[in-house]
Amino acid sequence: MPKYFSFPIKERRLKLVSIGMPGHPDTEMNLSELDEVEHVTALLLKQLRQEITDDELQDLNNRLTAHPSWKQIQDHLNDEKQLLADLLTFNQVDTEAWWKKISEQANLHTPSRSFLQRWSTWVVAALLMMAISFACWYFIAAKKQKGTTEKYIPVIINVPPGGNKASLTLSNGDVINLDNAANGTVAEEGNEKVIKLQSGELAYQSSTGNPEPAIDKMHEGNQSEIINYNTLSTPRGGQYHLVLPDGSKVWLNAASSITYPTRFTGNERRVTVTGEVYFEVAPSNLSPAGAGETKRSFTVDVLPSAAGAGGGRIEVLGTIFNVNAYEDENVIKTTLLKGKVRIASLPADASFTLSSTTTSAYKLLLPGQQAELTTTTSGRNDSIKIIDGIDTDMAVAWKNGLHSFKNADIKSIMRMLARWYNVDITYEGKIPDYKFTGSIPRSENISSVLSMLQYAGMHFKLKDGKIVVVP
Amino acid sequence: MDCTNSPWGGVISHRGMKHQFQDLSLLQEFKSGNTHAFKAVYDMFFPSLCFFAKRLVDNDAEGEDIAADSFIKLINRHGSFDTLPNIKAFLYITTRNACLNYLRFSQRQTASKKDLALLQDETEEHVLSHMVHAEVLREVENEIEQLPRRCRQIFKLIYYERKSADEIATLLDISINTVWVQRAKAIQLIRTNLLKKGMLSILLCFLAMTDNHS
Repeated sequence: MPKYFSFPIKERRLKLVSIGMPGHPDTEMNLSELDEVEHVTALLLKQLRQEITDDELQDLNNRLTAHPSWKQIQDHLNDEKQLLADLLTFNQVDTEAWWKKISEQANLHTPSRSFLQRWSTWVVAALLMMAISFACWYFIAAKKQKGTTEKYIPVIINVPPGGNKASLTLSNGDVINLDNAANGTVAEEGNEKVIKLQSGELAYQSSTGNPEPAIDKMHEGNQSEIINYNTLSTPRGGQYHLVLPDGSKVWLNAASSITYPTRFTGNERRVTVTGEVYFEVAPSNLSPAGAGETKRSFTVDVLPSAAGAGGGRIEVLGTIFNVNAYEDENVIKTTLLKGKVRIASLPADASFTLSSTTTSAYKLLLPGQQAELTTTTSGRNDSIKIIDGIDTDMAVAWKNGLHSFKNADIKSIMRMLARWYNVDITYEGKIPDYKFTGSIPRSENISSVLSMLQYAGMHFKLKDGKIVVVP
Repeated sequence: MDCTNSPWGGVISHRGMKHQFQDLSLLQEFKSGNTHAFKAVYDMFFPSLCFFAKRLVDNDAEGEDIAADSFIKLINRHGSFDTLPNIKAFLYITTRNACLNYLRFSQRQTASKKDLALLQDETEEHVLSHMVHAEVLREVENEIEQLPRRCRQIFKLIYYERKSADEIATLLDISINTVWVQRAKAIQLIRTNLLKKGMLSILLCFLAMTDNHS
């Protein structure tokens, strides 16, 4: 690290500005420094936008501790007043005047154009102006007319945001409400302890003290070993974080669930999910001996997105991805952030316990891609559409505490709000077909979100405890 | 309608530019000496370069001079750059060196050699941090520049010029009608609760939403 930071030009300091040509060795070295600048810049921006992950924050803090003067910059940026003051300084330069001077000194001249070219530009400009003024007039006239007839009534609807809520169903059918459970051991399943780490976090610990894969080996031949299944589910307005027995991390969005064994045995790790779940699957080669042996696959069965329809299956090897399979969304969306997964559809009547899908039906998903799985009752017309260039940050924004949408219609936004704020939504009349792009912290009250949408042209009213979207 | 006469059309703002012409074609034009490409690169980096230089030499006029010099140097050897990061690296490194030279020169008039050495070490220590600062601000400014025109206007009036809502209404000639009620409400919203939590993401989305059909 220090090598990375140290200025390579101590001795060369007295050299004048000639260094820094591309391809010149000095530049090569300095470029790595600039990479560091770029990296820290990106992290600071993420922090500023509150999009920074825990790992990234750790990374950033490490780098900042190494450089006290960078820390100062961070403080400046995160102080709103200071940031605005700095932006002001940033803009306090007459760029046009300087450009004039620079282009004079560098002997630049704007390429001269022919008489005809010049005139054609003017004609086009004039036509454009006419078109625009007509459009403006038309638009303003239309708006005025609307304004006189329609009264704008802002709605104040106060619904607090969701929080860390979930319930755990044990193998014996007992249900534990995790909201009021105290931190510490909340249940025991065979040799495993279920531990509530803090609000919103659940983990498993083997009471024998051995790491789980070792036990795995011990029990390899023991067919009578009983496997206990637990189900963690969140209500509407809830979210929860779970560390699976193999160390894989799972985040549950509102109205979602995951069913999993309290210990993974054999070569397969298999879980079943509904709703929206974000996975950070732990690498499979945890076994201490013989690293080259068979990898333990991780399989996620996604329950039907609509009643009666088929589900989906995702096969994983150490990866990060998000599944969105809400019943009211019609499609199962799988977004891959890292690694590799394979996706297949499962017919409606297929049992979810055995691998009934043939390998040929799997489709491979690469990072940055999203698979849209549309399932049908018969399973015959199932289709998997792979979409490239997905904004993965957007897909997992919920996990980072943001409502995020891009070109989303009002109904999909309202479905998201209904799940998080546990409210019911209805529609009246013809709702305008606007598309929205944006994000807002999930910690905001629903009124903030609705105000934004109102400002953007939507209207709401409250009726029988339901939020009604009106034209 | 703040269109320019550039052949690529529209305002050449940093981020917007990516949409208007690919980095590659910009680079080709830059290499072949196209003035518009020079201007595009200038718009992209000059404010941040100025900020960097000003902070480094702690003198606004001198900082701007140095940044401008770096730019002239860039243009004079325009044929030798293959990537945008290369151009950026050249600009920052050239500016840094010029700033250090300036400091050395001005200190030589007043301070002893010992002080000079001390100063240089301190400066070296701060060079990268100022660079980071300039780069972050460049990105933030990019985002603000990307806002819809009217929103950008309001943002700048509120935060850069500290104008009150009334003043803005007069300035932008927004009458007291439905639209204005909404705008005022919006400003209030930005100002009170939203700004404190992640100014950028919220403000940006907030304002972006307004432009979908305004």
